[in-house]
Amino acid sequence: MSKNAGINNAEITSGQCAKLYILFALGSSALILPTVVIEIAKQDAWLTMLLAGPINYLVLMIYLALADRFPNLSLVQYMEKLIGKWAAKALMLTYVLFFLVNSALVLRNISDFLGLSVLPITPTWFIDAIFMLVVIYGVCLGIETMARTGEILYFWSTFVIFIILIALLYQLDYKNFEPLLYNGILRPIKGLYPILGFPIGEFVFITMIFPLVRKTDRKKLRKSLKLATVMITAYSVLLTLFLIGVMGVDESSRSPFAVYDLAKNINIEEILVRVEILVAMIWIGTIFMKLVLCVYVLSVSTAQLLGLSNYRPLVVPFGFVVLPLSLIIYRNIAHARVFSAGVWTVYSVFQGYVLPLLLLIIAVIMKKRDNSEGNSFENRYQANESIGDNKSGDETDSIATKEPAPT
Amino acid sequence: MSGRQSDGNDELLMKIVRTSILLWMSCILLFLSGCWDLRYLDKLGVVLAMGIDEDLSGKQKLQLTVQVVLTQNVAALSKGGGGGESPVTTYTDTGDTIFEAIRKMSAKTSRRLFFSHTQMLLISEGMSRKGIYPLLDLIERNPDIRTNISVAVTRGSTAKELLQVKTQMEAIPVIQILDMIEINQESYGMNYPVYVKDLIKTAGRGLMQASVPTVRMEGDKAKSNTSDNTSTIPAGAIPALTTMAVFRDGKLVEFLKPKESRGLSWLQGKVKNTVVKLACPESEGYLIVEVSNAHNRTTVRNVKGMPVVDITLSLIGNLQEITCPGIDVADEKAMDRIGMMTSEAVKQEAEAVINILQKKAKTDALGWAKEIYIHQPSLWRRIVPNWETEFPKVKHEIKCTTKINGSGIRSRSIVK
Repeated sequence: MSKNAGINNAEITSGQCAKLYILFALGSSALILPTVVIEIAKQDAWLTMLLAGPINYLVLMIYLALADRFPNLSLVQYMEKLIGKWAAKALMLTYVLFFLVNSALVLRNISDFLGLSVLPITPTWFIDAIFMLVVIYGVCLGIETMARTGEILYFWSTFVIFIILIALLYQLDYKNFEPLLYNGILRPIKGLYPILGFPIGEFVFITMIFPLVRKTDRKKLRKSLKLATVMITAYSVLLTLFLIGVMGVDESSRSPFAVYDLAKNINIEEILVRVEILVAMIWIGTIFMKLVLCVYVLSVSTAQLLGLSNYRPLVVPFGFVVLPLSLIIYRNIAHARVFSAGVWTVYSVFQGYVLPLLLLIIAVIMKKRDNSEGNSFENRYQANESIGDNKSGDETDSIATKEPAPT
Repeated sequence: MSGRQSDGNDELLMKIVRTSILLWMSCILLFLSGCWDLRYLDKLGVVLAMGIDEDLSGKQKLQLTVQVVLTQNVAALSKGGGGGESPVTTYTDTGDTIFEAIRKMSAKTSRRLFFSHTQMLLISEGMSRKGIYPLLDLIERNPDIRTNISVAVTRGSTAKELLQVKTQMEAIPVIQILDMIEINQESYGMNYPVYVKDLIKTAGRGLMQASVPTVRMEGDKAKSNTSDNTSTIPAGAIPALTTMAVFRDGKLVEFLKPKESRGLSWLQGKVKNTVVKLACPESEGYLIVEVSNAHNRTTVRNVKGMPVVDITLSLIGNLQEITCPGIDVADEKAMDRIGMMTSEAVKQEAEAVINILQKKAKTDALGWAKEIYIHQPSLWRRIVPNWETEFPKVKHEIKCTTKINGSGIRSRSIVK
């Protein structure tokens, strides 16, 4: 097989990992989430976003604690070491389903957004198909390419967000925030509900990326991820502040893509106007990153579940599954509201916090640590690769049965 | 020899690479052409303004008039030719809703109407009295139409007639109305532009009622839409601004008087520059103070369970016209006195508008509900159920200070 045939053809730096984390958080949720939160928390929504910061941090701590114990293994891999082969396979399957549904949702977000605001006549499936083509190509290129794309997109999205915020600074009306806590502290806390699942619960994808971080860079990883959490909180607080300050509570809670509408308000002396398409471009970029990561994690976890030597054969089939699934995942915008603000949270919290937390508790009780080179991600799959080579190239044949590591 | 050959091979390779890149790029063009949503510019009729009237036949709810720019005639105008061809035209159709009327218009237009560059919305008095929010829903909901459209109410003539006036100063008539509102705000402050997005905000929390400038037609209506209108000096008929109109729950209730209209501007903080006329204290004649900077601040006090609205206006002005003798502008005391007189005059205008809003129109166009909600949330919680009846009883206190900076480029007046 070629040199980039393995699952882990690559390694990324801790900075790239943090940037992927931020882009994943910005993609789709920054565009859609504020509306939902402002609808619940009204003018205190920015407080909600601030409160979401510590929760995000705590969840990240769970992932990092697990990563400390199993630095060279992904979530799906150390599950096997913790709870045995068959129980782990069952749990893995829930993660595969989770990322499948998540990919479909993210793809649906992009076609909803483009269909409503930019390309109303173009059929949804066409937007989806074109987008999916690029995503499949991106996932096939591997994590290193994705991380480098992430670095470019990260710079541009930060740049555009700040340009937009600076351009709107003079329109900020502090009166829109008053009175603070009109209905007590309970209201901003209630607003946390949708955020718990979308996007915080979805951050579980990062556990699949951790083992790919360069070994010499591991020490910096903790620091850069913490910084990333602070940045995510800062972005969401800033965006919500500007939404409420510029558009007011009522309008921003009635607009499904509030940040896009926010950019429509930019008007600097009639010279700099109608720049909202910049926002559309940036959201396409960040949502692309989120979808690429979702599909990557989906393919890799399936490959690890089935013990394949290479995740790439799975990408195109998954593309064909995700695309129709995204068309039927919810019926219309109204259904999407119920789904994303109610159902998704429960599902995502279960997959994103409860299972990793249980795994961590099991690991702590069983005092399990596994960072031996012998069981490391790379060697294991290089071994599998040779098994795969011996057999025929057929996909089903390359399923390698492995002994679970002795417990 | 062999080196040369390999050079030839390299060239051939480069050629293949270049050709394949070119092929690839032309393939990509298929995907980048805007897909199904392509619209050719020369197939679009760019709508600059919309006018909404009542349907005269009474069969349907409204009659929509759109002012469409005729690009070919605009091009001719800018070349200096023109030849009397109008740069715009209008189309009118009826419907129960705006969108219905727009689509019905396709029976009369050869181009698809395009609303992304619409700048003005005129609503007739009759439609305004029936309620404006149903008319704004489409503008807010449709992704093509933007919400920074300036809104005006027409008085005395229909929106259709106003959109059909030929104007002299501006080739495109709606630009005349649009800029008129802004110029009036910048130099007299009796009207100020109100955009659809502002009206949507008033609809939202219901804590502030809408107010919109009014346009009427001055002169002979009969020929206003022919080129005869602009061939005479002055023009036969011109659009002109009157005063602000105030709304209650989206329905027009009252046209303000000029004094009250500027009072509203003072209290809304919309005055950019204006002149205040004062009677001379000791002799016949007038003083004109040009106010170049007005700043207002509103707070709410809680006095025995009732809100008291405190309004502080601080103005900076210049004495610009003196038509009476005996004013010594070199004397600081005299300047202070003129400042106090200005404050008093401005205060009167503000009182006038508060009076009419509380007593006659009974509509909170000043946004006092919002101020109480912001400054005294607990008090607001108590009075909100019967705010309608509470509003006329809300007390207020206006403090106004004026700083007179100078007296133009002369000191004493030549008036004796």
